[in-house]
Amino acid sequence: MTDPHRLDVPGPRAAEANTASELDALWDDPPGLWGRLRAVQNDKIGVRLLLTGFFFLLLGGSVDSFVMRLQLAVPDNDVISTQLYNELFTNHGSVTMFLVILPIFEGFAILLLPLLLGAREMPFPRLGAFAYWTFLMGGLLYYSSTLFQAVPDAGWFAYTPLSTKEFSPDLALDFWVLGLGVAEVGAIAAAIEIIIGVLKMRAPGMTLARMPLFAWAMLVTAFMILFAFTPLIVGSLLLELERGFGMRFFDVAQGGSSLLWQHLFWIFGHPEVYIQFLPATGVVSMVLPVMVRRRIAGYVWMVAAMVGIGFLSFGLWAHHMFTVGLPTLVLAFFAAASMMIAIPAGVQIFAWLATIWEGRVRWSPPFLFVVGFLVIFVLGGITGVMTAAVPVDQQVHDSYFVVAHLHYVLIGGVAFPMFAGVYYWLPKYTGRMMDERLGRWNFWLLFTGVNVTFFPMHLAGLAGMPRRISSYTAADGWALYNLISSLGLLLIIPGLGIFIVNLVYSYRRGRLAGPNPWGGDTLEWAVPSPPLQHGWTVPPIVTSRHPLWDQEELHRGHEGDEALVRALSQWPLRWRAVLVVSTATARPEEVFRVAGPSIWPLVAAFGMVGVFASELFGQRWGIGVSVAVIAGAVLMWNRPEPPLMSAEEERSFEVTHGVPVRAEGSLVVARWGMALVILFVTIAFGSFLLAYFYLRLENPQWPPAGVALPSVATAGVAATALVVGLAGVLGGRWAAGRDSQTGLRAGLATAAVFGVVGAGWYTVELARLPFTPQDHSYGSIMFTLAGFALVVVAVAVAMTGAVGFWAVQGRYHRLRLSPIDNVARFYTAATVVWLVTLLTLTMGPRLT
Amino acid sequence: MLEPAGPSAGVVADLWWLMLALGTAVFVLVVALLAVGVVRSGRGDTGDWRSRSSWWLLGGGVALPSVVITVVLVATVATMRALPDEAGATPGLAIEVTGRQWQWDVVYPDHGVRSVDEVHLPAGEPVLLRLRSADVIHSFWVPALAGKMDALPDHENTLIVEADEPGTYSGVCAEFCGVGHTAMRITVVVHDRAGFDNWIETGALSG
Repeated sequence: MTDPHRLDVPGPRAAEANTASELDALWDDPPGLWGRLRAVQNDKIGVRLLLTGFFFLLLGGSVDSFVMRLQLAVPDNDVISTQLYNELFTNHGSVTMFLVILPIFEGFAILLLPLLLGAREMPFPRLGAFAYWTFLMGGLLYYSSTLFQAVPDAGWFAYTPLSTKEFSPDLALDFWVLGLGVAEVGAIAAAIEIIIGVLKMRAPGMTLARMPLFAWAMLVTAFMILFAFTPLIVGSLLLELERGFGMRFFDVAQGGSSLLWQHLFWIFGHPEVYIQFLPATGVVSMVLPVMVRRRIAGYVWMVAAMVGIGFLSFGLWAHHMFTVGLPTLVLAFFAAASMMIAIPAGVQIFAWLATIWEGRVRWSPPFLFVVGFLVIFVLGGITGVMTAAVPVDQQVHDSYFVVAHLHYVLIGGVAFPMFAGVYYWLPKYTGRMMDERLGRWNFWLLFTGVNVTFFPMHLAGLAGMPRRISSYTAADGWALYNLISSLGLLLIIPGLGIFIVNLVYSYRRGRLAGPNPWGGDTLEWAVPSPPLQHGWTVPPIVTSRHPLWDQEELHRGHEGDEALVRALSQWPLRWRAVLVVSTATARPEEVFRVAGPSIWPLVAAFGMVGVFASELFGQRWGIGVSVAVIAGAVLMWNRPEPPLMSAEEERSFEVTHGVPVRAEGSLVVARWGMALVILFVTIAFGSFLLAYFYLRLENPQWPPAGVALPSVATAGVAATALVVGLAGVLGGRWAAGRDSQTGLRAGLATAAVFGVVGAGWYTVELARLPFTPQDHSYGSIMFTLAGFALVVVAVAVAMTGAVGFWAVQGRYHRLRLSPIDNVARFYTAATVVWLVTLLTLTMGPRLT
Repeated sequence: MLEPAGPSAGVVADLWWLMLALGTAVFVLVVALLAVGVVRSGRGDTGDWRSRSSWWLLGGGVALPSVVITVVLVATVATMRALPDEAGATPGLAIEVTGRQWQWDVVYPDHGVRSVDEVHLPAGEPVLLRLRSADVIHSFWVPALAGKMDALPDHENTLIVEADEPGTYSGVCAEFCGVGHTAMRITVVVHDRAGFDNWIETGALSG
């Protein structure tokens, strides 16, 4: 056992090399405005996400709540109208849930992970830039509703039928669906980036079991984003198809359902809470051990708890629906599942407590915020178990008790760790410490203010005060609670103000931090503060879970690794080289060239916002133009760049170090990217199927009276065509493996032709149906599900066409087939989607 | 909900007090452990840290929440079974309550009368409310009598309420339903049997 008193010494520094400034210049994004628009460097993208998220927090989190608390301070108040109040609480919830917490943690992740993991970059810098731009533009598109005086006013949950055209006829809800839709695309893009970054881009020797807990937290979170945001995007698409195209998913008069939206929304909405909470626990698990100078208790337990929370969170959504009239057995199941989450959460809390018991506390602001987190979050967790008890929930649901609960969880459980993280990590990036005394004021004002503001809301809720009302009367008996709540803001506002002052102060004249001001154990503290653009001149070698506490030097280890990291500090110096490692064991697998600055992510983001804005303003021609812009931009940003070195150079490096060099782009990372794209398609498809079968079960008469059953023969022809096409792709791949260029070309041609034939045939058959998507929910979901499958097949065919084009040019040979492999994988996935869709549409109505 | 005026709200309030006691105990325990932890700070440097941490995790992290949620879950299911449902209780009176933007239409089909934003009940009898919506989702909530239940446009939900004593109980629409949501209140007026019959004869609107 190491002497714990050793743990606050600075620890080893990253090895240095004479190429540091050369690499720094190579990795720096270009200067000037044009350079900023093309920037892709993870430091820049991360900081942008953090600042933009914080900006939206001040705008939507703080200004809105100030006005709302002013209105509710006394009974019968009329500072603002009910309509404005409704807009404010809708905005407050939507902004904090979509535009604040998630981008801030994605910013933390993109900023920190490469340093924390000993990598130079994230795997897809341009995708990171695209994620930022879409998030920013989505937020702005959403907020632009104010300019058009059509501000969303149906709550952050936008329940149908209230949110349908019939009850919300103006553009307000379209701003909500479409503006936030853009931001959701950005969230998914960042999630893909984070998953691959954590799994593949770490220091040699940093096995999964040695990975910092923040990286584990972000890995689980990013998977959850993929699984949760995708159904939300599908749900939003259905809502917009209903609002903009007159479809009938939610129209109860035409076989639609009022509850389908709630299911889709909460399948996203509940995991969303843990998507926000898990990164916060990751931050606490990093900050707390360093502040008490002790290793975290139960590292493996912590990982298991996070993974467990990730899985459980997808089985709880119906606890938001305990009052919609679900059967008793279903209620009991979701109550039990909801309470189960107390076990992994309990493991985390007691691991932190045990670590504190064993350690020696240092009362700096990061630790204050950790203690505040523990106190407030435990209270929020306890009220969470209370609301999982069905009969109590049926009382407190949609009352101020829940408002209190969720703010305890989101402020105590999420915002406090964010503050802890900023106080802890900011010195790494500014090189200067934040002020301790201001930090204490910051903490105590916020801690007191949050409790004064939100504790009385529990009592107001128990006294019967419902949510989302703009005024109440003295006779209701809620006046005192509300007054105290409103007064609490007088503590929170100066608390936030002091935080901003402290940021500016420390940036300008804070005490110099040095590389490792806290005596931290993880890799980021081994490099200078602020770090160089490329982070690591000599990539580190990791032999411990706490490298700075346990290792004497960071470039010692496996003999081959030592030579490899030394070599990477000297070569290549003309392109941005990063190292890929094996997923579990972190053995070097590949050196590849990560993408540099590019304007195309911004152009693609403009295209993305163009799609949504065209729909919003009823200019549907713009959707086609925007899709073309996106396709063009994505092609341009993936266009092969000249390798800047000869094949001999690559080969000689490989011979010396046993690791292949790929200056034209990674094979490993591309394979993972394709796998995640297929996962995304699968989840989206699952969400469409859920919608189909939900509507199917809601309607005993399916198809509606007078509509014929779908034809088996039609589906059979369409299915056969795609199966032949798939055989073509697989056959072509097989032939290419045997160096048969003719076989490859013939296979790809078969795949493209039969894909077009199958999709085209089915499109024609759909067009000949005697009903439209607007007639009834059966038509709506049939056309939508078929439309989704057609889009997936069209993408597969387009990809086949692209590699076919390059195959004709003879760009593939036996050793360079990864693009063909990826196309074959996607084509296979598309065929499965196609067959399941045809089976569902044909047999679904025949189920009795 | 903490001043129950009927058996449904009563059993729920009992469950609430049980959970409040348990929750308070857990909260006090955790905060006490935290306080002692930061004060004693570092006196546990010796001995087998790994096995000590396993005790923390097994005892505090797994056993404690398991025991608490088992108790809470059993109490929850027991309470759910104690709440009256259509299969168990046989209410003599059924009332149709329809939410619309923004009022409650209340129809007494047995008597051919109706009322608006008021539900009139006889005391001491279970009454079946048939809840529906004419437009968007609303939710019927009178905290002194029972938990809330949503009024949906495409399904009928039922709620059995019973008031012990005559009196007036206020309630609200608990599901956000548009600009009139704030003002969408409901009042339950509970009469003794004679008073209820009298109200049906003379006070109600004609059907």
